[in-house]
Parts: sequence; C-alpha cells; structure tokens
Amino acid sequence: MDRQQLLEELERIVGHDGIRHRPVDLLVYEYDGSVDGAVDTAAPTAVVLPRSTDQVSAIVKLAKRADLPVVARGAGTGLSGGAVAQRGGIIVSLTRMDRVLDVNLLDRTALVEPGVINLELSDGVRDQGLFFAPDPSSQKACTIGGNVAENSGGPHCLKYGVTTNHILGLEIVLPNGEVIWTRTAQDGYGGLDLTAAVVGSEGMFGIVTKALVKLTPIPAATTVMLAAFGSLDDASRAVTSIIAAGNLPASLEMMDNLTIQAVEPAYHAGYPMDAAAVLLIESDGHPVEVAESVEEIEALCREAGATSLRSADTAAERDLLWKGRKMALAAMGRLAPNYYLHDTVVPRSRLPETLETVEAIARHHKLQIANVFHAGDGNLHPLMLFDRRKPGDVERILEASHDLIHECVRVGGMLSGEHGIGTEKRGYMTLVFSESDLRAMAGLKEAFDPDQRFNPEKVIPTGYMCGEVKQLHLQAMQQQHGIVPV
Amino acid sequence: MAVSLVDLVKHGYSGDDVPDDDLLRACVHCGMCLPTCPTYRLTGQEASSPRGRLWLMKSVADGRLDLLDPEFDEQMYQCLNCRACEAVCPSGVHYGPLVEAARSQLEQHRPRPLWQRVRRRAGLNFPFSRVSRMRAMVNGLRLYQRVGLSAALRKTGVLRLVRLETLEAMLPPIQEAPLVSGKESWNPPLVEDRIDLFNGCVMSTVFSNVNRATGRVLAHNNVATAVPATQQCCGALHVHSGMMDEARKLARINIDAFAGDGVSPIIVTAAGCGAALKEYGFLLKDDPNYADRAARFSGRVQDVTEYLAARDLVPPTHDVRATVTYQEPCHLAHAQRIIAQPRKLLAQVPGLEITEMKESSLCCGSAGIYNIIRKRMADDLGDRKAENVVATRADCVVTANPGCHMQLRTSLKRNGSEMPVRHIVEILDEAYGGPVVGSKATNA
Amino acid sequence: MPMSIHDTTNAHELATGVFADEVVAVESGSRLADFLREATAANHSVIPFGGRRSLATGNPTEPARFGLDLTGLTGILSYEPADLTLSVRAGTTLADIQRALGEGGQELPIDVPFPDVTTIGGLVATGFVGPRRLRSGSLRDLLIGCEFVRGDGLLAKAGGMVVKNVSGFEIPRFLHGSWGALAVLTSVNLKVTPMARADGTLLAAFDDVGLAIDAAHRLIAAEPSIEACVVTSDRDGVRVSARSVGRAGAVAASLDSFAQCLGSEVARLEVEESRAFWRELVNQYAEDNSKTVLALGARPRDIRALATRIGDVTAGDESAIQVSPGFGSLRIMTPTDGEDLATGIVALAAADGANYVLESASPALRSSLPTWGAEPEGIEVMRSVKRQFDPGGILNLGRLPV
Repeated sequence: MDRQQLLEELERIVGHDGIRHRPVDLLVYEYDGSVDGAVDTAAPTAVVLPRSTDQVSAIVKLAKRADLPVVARGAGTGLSGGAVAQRGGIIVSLTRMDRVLDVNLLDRTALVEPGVINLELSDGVRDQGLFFAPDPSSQKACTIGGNVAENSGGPHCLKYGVTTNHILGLEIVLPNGEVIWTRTAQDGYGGLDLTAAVVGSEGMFGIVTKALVKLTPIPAATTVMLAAFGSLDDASRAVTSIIAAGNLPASLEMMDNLTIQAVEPAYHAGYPMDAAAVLLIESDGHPVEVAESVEEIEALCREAGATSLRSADTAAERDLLWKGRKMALAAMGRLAPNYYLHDTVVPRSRLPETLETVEAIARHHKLQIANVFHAGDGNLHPLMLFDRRKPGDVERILEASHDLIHECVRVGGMLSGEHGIGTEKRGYMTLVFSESDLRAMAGLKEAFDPDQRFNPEKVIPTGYMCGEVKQLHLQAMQQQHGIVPV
Repeated sequence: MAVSLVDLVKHGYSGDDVPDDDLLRACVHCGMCLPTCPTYRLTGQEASSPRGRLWLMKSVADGRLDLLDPEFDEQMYQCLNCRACEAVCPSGVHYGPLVEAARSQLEQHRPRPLWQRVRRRAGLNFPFSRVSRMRAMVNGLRLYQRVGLSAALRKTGVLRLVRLETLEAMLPPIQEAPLVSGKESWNPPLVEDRIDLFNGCVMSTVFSNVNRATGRVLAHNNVATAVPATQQCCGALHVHSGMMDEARKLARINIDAFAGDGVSPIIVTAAGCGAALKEYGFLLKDDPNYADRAARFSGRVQDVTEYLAARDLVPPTHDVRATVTYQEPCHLAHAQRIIAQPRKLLAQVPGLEITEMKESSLCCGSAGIYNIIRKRMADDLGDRKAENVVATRADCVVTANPGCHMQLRTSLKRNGSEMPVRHIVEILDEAYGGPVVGSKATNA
Repeated sequence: MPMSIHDTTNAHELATGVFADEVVAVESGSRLADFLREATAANHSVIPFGGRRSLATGNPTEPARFGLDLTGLTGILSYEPADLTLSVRAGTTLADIQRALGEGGQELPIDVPFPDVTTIGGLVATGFVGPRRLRSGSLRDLLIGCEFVRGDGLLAKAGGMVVKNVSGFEIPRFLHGSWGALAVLTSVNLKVTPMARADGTLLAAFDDVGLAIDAAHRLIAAEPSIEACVVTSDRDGVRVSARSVGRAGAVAASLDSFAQCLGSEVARLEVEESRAFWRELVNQYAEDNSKTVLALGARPRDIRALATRIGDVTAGDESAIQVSPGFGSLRIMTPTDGEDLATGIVALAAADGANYVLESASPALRSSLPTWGAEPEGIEVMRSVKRQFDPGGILNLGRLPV
C-alpha cells in the first residue's frame, strides 16, 4: 500500500479533521515526556485522532493490511519512551476519547474512555465521597489509558496499590482489530485474567478504548505529619521502624536537604531548611485509628532522632505540606536548568545503604543528585541535576544512571517502580531477567500480537521474539553483561 | 520514516526579538501544561499545545522547520497567549515572551498581503495606539447605542470593513462618559497611601464606571488615587501580535507618564494591562536608556485585587444579597499568579455567596483580540465557559478584565443566558454603598 | 523421570471423579521443568495439585497420565518483616505461612478454606477471593512475583521482591486464576501486611435477603474503613456480618456505628472469636463435597435482584446463600440432588448477565452443566496464550475453557 492510499483510507475512517500527516505535523509527535538523550525521538508515518472504538479498530485493521506498526498515545507524559514510534507507523492519539461514560455509586466504578485525565476523574467523583486511588505525579495531565499501559503508581500506592489494583475490566482493540472486553479474576468468572496481562503491558498487547475502574471511598479522617531529621540515615531508620511497628500509612515520602533547599524558598511549605531530610507521612482511615497511629508514628520518629515534628488535620494545612512535595520538580529549576528524574525500586530495608550509594555515585560523577521519593515503597526517584548546554553533562548523567541501576539491582531491587521500561531501560532487562524469563514474557506478547504490530521495540530486548536471530544477540549480551543463559 | 524538512528550510530566526534559546530549551516536554491549554483541550492535538508549539519554535531554531511554514504561523497565532501553561510548568518556561518573540519574527519576515496589513493596522494599531482615538470611537459607539443608529450603520458595511462588527456585538451598554486621564482624582479625608491608576484604553472608555468605582473603593480604604495625565495604551495587544516596536514605544511613554514620585503603587483594573505592565522590564531590557526604569516601573505595578487584598479592608457597610461565581482572567491567574486575592475580597463582602464554577481558570476565549480574529475557536471556548457559568446557577459572574467581561457577556447571551457580568470592583463599590455615598471625585 | 510414589497400573482418584494413571512428586523447580519438558515431548497429560481442595472443579475429559503432587515443594524462601514481603514455595500451606508471618507480627489479609491443607500455589492458581477483598483485596492484589514452569518446561520468573514494580509484563497476576492451565507455580512472592491489632464482627438479623443486601449497601457506603460485609441466608436465618480490623478503639467505635446503621445486633464477636467466625464462614462452602456449590459474579447494583430471585426458587429447601454485595460475589450451596435447581439458578443468572462457575457438583451435574459458564470474551487470545505456554496441551485439561 503506498502512502497516498494509506492516508486516503485513514481519512475515510477518522475524517479530514482526524488525521495529521504533513512533516510539520509529525514533528510534534516525535517525543513523549522522556529525557532527551535517555530516549531517542522518532517521527511516526501518520497520526490519527479517533473518536470511537470502531474507528480504532478500523485503523488497526488498516495498519495490518499496510503492515505498519501502531503506537497508542495518551497525554505523552510517559518517562520511558513508551509513546515514541521507534519504528515509525501510525500513532493513535486517544486524546479525543475523553468522556466519563458512567459512574455507579453501588458498584463504586466509573466507565471511562482512555483520554480522561487522571485527576479530573477523581475531581469529578469527589462530591460522591470517592476517588481514583492511583495518583502519579503527572496526575494533572496524564490519562487513564496511559496509566493502564504503564501500571502507574504514585505516593498513595503504599496503602492503596497501583493502577492494576484499580482496574476491573478493559475494552481493548487487539492487534488484529478485534474488540474485546477483558475481565478480572473474581467469583463466578471462568476465564483468564486478561486485564492483569494488559495493565502494564506498555501498549504492546492491545489499545485500551474503555476502562472500568474501581473508585475508592474517601477515608473519614486524614492527617499529614512532617518529621525533620538531622541525617538521611535517621530518616531511613524512622521509615523502617514505622513499618516494622505495624503501621501502614497512606503514604510515606522522603525529601533530602537539596530538595528542601529548592522547595522551601519557593513554596514556604514549612520544611526546616537545615534538616538533612524530611518525611511526609499521611495516615488515613477511621478517626480513632488515625489519632492513635499519628501518636505512635510521632513517637517512633522522635525515637529515630526527629528534630522537629508537625501535623496537619485540615485540608488547607495538609495541602500546604503536600505542596512542597508535589512541586518538588518545579522547584528544581532553582538549582539547575535540567534534571533527569530516575526511577528504581529496592526492598525497603535496603534504603539506607542505597541512599549512601546514590551519594557516592553523585560524588563520583561530580553530579548534584536530589532525592525526593516514595520511601514507604522503597521507590527511589533520584533527580540528577545537569545543564544540557554544558558539553559532557548528558553523558555524565547517563553514566551515573547506569551505575545506579546496577547498584539497585545488586541489593535486590528492580529497574523501575512506576515509569516503565519502554526504550529507556530495555537494554537493562537482562540484568534482572534470565533468557528464560524474557522468553516467557515474549511468549505472552506473541500470544496477543504475533506480528509485533503494537508498540514494537519496547520492553523486551532484541533477540527474544520468535523469528529473531537469537544466538547472535545472546552472545553479544553475554559479552556485555556477563549473563549466562539458564 | 524520518521527517526531513531540512531541505525545505529557507527561513530561520533573525533580526530583533529572536526567541531566547535558553528559555526555549528550558522546556523538557514533560506535558504538564497540556490540560491547562484551551486550544489543546478543544482539539486534542499536540501541535495546539504549549509543548507542541515550543517544539515547533525549537525546530525553527534548529533549522528543521521553516519559519514561514504556514502551520507554524497558524500555531503561533492559534495560541491565546493565556499563559495557563506557565503557571503549571515544572521547569518555569516563560512561554508568553517566547510566543510573542515568535510572532514578532513572523511580523518581521512574513510578507503579508496589503489588505491584511491594512486590516491589522485598522483593527489594532489605530485605536490602541492613542487613547484619544479610542475615546472618540467609543464616544461614537456610546452615542449610537443610545440613539439606535446601529441598524443603519450595520447596513452600510462600514463596520465589517474593520471587523468591528464582532466588536460591536460584544460591547456592553456603555454606562458613563470616558474617564480622561489627569481630569479626575479621589482624595479621601484620611490618606494612608497614594496610588497612580493605570487608566487603560478599554477600561477608561467602555468600562469607565469600573475605574471610577475603583477610585471610590480605594477612597473608602483611605487611599488617594491619581490618574497620571499623559499615559497611553499599555501595549499588551501589540506584544501579543508581535508588534514589538509599537509596544516599546508605548512602554516608554507610560514609564515617563508615571515617573511621578517613582514609588507609588501603579494600580491596574485590567488583568491584561497589568500583565503587560509587569513585563516592561523584559520588553525594554535591551534599551540602555529605559532598561532600569522599566524594571522599576514593573516593580510598582499591582492589580487592584492584589493591592486591596494585601491591605486590611475597611469593612464594607452594605449587604450585597447575591450568589456570584468568579471567572479567573488568564492574565490575572496565570500571567500574574493572582488566584486567592479576588476570592479573599469577595469573601469579605457581607451577604455575598460565592460558588465556584468548573474550569474557572480555563480561558473564556477572549484573549485580547483573539475573539475578533479567530471567532470560531473563541466561540467554542465561550460556549464551554457559558455552560460552566450557567451550571453554577449564580446570579452574577464576576471577573477582572475587560476582554473576559465582554466575551462572557456575548457567550452567555449566545447560550440564552441573561446572567449579568461584573468587575469585582463593582461588587466592592456596591458593598460600600455605591457611587452616591462613596463618591469623592474631584475635577483636577 | 522423577520417581513415582505410587507404583501401580491402576488409576488414582485424585479427587472425586478426577483420575491419573500415575502420581509423581517433585521437590524443585528444575526437576519440574525436566518433567514437563519430557511430558510435552511424550504428549502425556498432567494434573498438578496441592491441597486438592479445588481439584474437583472442572471437567476432566479422561484420566490424566500423571498427577503431579506439589505438596513437597514447601518452605519459606525469604521473609523480611521490614520489607513486608515474603517469598514462599508453592506447596506451602496457608497455615504455615500465617504462622511464620505471625512471628513477625504480620499476616496475609485473607481467610481461606482449610488453611492446614490449602497451598498458596493452589490458592493463586484457582484465583481464590475471600470476603476481605472489599478492602484488603485478594491474592491478586498481594502478588508481586513468582517462579513458574510453563507446560513446555520453560522455568522462568517474573516480578520481583519489591512492592512496586513495572519491570516487564505482569505474568504473576496473569497466572492468578489460570487454574494451572498455562504453567505450574513453583514459588510466589507476596506483599504482606501488619497484623491487625484488633478484630471485631457485628452480626445483624434481617427478615429477607433483599432487605439485608440493601442494608449492607448502605453500611458499605457509610463506612469507608469496613473490612468485610457479607449477607448470608441459611438455617441460621438471614444475617449481615460486618467486620472491622485495626486498633481496638477504632474497631469498637466501628462496631457501634455498624449496629446503628444496620439497626440490629444479634451478636458482637471480638478478636479471636471474630477471626474464627470468618474462617468458618469460608469453610462452609468447601467442606462438603456432596453438595452442589455455584459461585456467581455480578455487578453490585444487580446483586440484590439476583439474590432475591434465587431466594425465591430455593425457598424452603436446604440451600444456603452467601453474598458479598460490595464486590458482587454470590455463592450458593444446594443439596446434591438439586440438579434442576442448579440449572434453574444458572438460567436466572444468565438472564441477569451474571456468570457462574460450578465449584462443586456431582459427576452427573458436571457432565450436564458446563463448569465455567458462558464462554468468556477474548477466548481466541486465551487459547493463543495457552498454545504459547503449553504448546503440547498437556496441562490441566478441562480446567478453564482454553
């Protein structure tokens, strides 16, 4: 099929207004939210903006006939290159499918289209005493479809779980164009839990056209505590002892001194400027439960050496304490023109040593690294500060990031807690997964998408898909990483 | 398939007002701006988002896109320059100055047909470069609103020639005679502070009643108001349209006009003017004679709500029994980050109920003269706004910018609502007893 | 080939109506991989089993060549209380797991039937859901990683030992509820939770199931922290049982407000009584293989109508119903000879758009009523996954319609 014919047929499906294909139009679909240098940009062949499931299905069937890759895209806020069309093809932008179709209070569910913005869903059901629990930092902009693809997390995942825990079913368009509703394991269901497979599959198994999401009741009471510490180590020990004592806060966030230096002058959240680290701890639930656990958590913080403690019960006070955390990235501009927001995850008990490692890496590469992260989950977000205009800066952060990933894996951690693998960390998959592990993942992919049509060149490193010349790649990888086939 | 426009690129940035490369590259394309952008919300397409537009600007800088590519022109002018994106940008990208510089580049390098140049001059430069011209025009309009010449005038097609047709439909009934700068002042018996009022083209003519109300409200709060005589248009619309030289001319005139004691706050009743005045420092940064003075001038500028909210308001004396909803002008909420102050003031009005609308900070579609030159997109935004306003079931919608005021009024009308639109100062004025009790105007 | 523990040519009855020619036991993942690779090559069918509690669910078409005994695959591989994570071999019983976690002051927030014999691998494979799903979720929500052997003998792992992880595809969660039709689990990694300091249950009585379900919906809406809420109708009458876990003060306060909201209080169970009550509640539907048990899933908004209609057809007989209105689960147990009754219920459910699984039934009923209800959407993809994971089609024939 030649290009002209492809464009004509696409236009027949989505109308003149629903297709972008001139070179200048494609320029703005070269990127997503990933850092330049860590993820390469690439332009698609065409971009379509469908308004219905039928249109998406027709587009996918056409792509199959034209033998072109298909890449689904939401808001393009992803941080691992998931929405970049590495091999060209058709980008299906789902921004025009943005309706909340139904909210049911008895079911505590919302039926939404993929382009609905995460926070706007929560805002829309707040009056009913409900919210959508996954709250990634990009929640003001990112879409539910993207959350499903990446299995997004957020600060409140410590207690409430990540996206996959809040999806009950998905309408998806399969790579052959067929439309199905996936279901979730539950009483009375006799079938595979395809929902579990699709959530977090980074757009490689199906394109989500509707999602049935679980809504969570807003807890009766919420208190946010701010605890300051004289050393990172004290703060990490407080985290460990809070959890070990049997508390499961709604969220447990840590910010180091560099972050405080950036945040406090900008937002006056009340973080002590001289603290080596602060913990932001949110406790929610039954009012009696919250009151008692706040008392206990404060005592544990004091025991761990907290130099000051504050707590906030009203929404306004809580928002102010949270503001510093939520605006931390915004404030980094005060320290450096650019930052690389990293994402790795380690077992909680390995946090203290991992933070030391981060410091060592920063010293070694002569980088400033700020830490602002989900301590309760062991999910690190080192912010590597740099200046793109300085020659060598980009290379240094990439080297530092390489070292960081190796160190996290060494202590039992994984590559990504919430940003995904995409192309950014695809080359690192062999660090944590054996050849068999990757073959099993590739097998699942092939069951959904035997032609490798959806979002090619993501997650699974080259060499594991059927028909690829495996041996050559394996040898190369053995040389590179010392991986021995299992 | 790689995009290869490079061979086709003939025009890059050159001359004055080249978009600052450091500012451009501060954007890390994270996408946090997307949902705040009115044109992105309407179209869902990346090119119509701040991030997309910045990428296009970068592409021109990198020689990957021709400055005169029609899509570049389209996107630079489709933008409402509402600057909602700036307020949420984690990297602190100064989007406004960038898009204004890009427009300036287009104005300098784009060959426009004669009729377009004539229309732009007639529609923008002519009335807005001299307050006296605007005054004359509005006096005429006021007259014809009163005596009903409209039908006759419309028939002649004169209005259509300069696209005043749309403007005419938007104009609210003009209540008072223009407030001529230097001719009026307010001097309360007890003076705690003195301010200079920025009179504005539209505010001093179409909304002169608001500026007079401002004088009264300030007088109630023991603040004396002067209206410096030689001031002119702020130049905001020129900046938005890339007519930077005209804008700089106006800026210099105003800096001279407000030289006075050099410290009094300069109080503005139009959010759009305020945002522009606060950026004189940036506009004239390369002018050796004016750079410092411009920066000092900008430091004195405050929106009337910003100024009043920072003082302890003398308690208003009259109940205002109404439910109002507040539409945030983009150039107040986003460009000046003034969000809490108007609400704080309204909360101090006895008897007044405030109800928040959905998307109160999303642009209403006015955006300077956008609603005149891009009617369809503006109408879509206006309809969305009207729907959100009506849904509050408020008695009245309050705002703080003349463009928003007129756009809200037109949009509500088009959607079958007669809900009145008022400037926040009008509500305060009423709470102090209105023009009769509080009037302390003297003719200078 | 691993040693066979029963050297006999006669078929073994693994569970009612489920036979295998030979039973083999494995103690390690690599041995299991060898075994399944060879079984695939030889086209030998295999039925893996642990505690055998759910082995009779499904439609085995003919005796399998091998029964695969996984109860020897036991032991905790790693447990770090400070991390709130646990890695355990698949044949470990729930009771052993809870005991080990209890020493660290932690638990898996799930009540399962017969924890002394039920294995964690079996629970994950059968996708067990308990009443605490309302707030604490099911094992699906607690799974963070696993090791497994595919039908073709590929030994692989997925996920990890961290509580938040998006490195690679979600195979662990996908295997939850796959009934051993794709792979055999050798170990699972789980998120665990601090053990609740107090536990309490309030029992309220109602005149009929419909009113009880209405009251349960009201209670769930009013109490965001409620742990579980079940409506039962059996020889004890119609009851709403509402559970609260947490600190003593909060639990006591919650039970007070439960009583007020429900407008009835038959009994109030504290700590150990409360825990025992919920263990028994889930046992009820699993203890008697001679009964017919149907599990139904419906939307919470539809569950009242469905339960009422089922109540009408079962009125006066020995049937018992257990409903979790908060997440739309309904379990019904009828006397064995009630084949027509079961068929009637299935027809009712279908009319309401609800699906069913026949969890326990006589061989006769199993042959007349499909175990897995209506064919699920996406069956082609499911079969395609089955072909990828178990190309020889040797695993668990008749479990799931794949």
